Amino acid sequence: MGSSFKGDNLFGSGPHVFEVGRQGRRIVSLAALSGDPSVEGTIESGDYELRVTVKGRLVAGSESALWTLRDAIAAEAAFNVAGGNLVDHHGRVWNGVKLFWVEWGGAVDRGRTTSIGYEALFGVTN
Amino acid sequence: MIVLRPDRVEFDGGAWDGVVRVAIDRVSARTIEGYDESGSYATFVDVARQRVVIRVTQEIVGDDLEAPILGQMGELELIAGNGTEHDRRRVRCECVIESVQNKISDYGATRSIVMIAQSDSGENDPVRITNP
Repeated sequence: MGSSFKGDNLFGSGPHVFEVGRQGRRIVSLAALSGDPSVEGTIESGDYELRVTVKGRLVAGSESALWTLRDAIAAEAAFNVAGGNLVDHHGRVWNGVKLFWVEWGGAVDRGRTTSIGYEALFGVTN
Repeated sequence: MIVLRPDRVEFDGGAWDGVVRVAIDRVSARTIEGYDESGSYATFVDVARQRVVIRVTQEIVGDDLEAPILGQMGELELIAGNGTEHDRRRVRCECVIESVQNKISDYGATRSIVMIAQSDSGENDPVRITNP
């Protein structure tokens, strides 16, 4: 099964995996909240927001084809672009997430194919 | 690629005598392996950078004070064949000398010269094989 974001196969040109970030209660130190390092203790401050990272490699047959793949992902990370459903290889769905950013893994690799690694962070904001 | 006892070897226009073998190896300088979530095996493998390493082995007879200089760049040209004109091939490539090592034993002396091939453009194979 292929993955998708908002119904589009953004990552399907190459291998990619999904990683879910920290989940649970967010514990905040009172010293950090008050700005006074002498204050002891911590409080619970809600739950961690959902974060899902997609790590993989875009693979294309040419430079221009690779740029098409890159631009399609980068466009989803732009300000004010609506979120949507992110679906992994196994059908797990994260509803209403946005693509916060995509980071490219250095230079383009040119071998039998033209490819580049990436990390794309999805999540929700409350 | 292996050439045993080539008919002639030149580097940067000068003849190298006593060459008993030339080996041209290709090794990956950057291998990409990609895995997805379907299982344990790589689903994408590519070699994005490769090194072409040439090893020339010479038999040295007598003193030799003219060893190649590390970093020197020049065209390596050798004529390979099986003794017949029909089978002869000319192998050429631009390369840079990376190491020069001598071995001396009771049976003689050999010199091993390792060179790295350089392409005129990243997409062209630096080793060219033609008819002489």
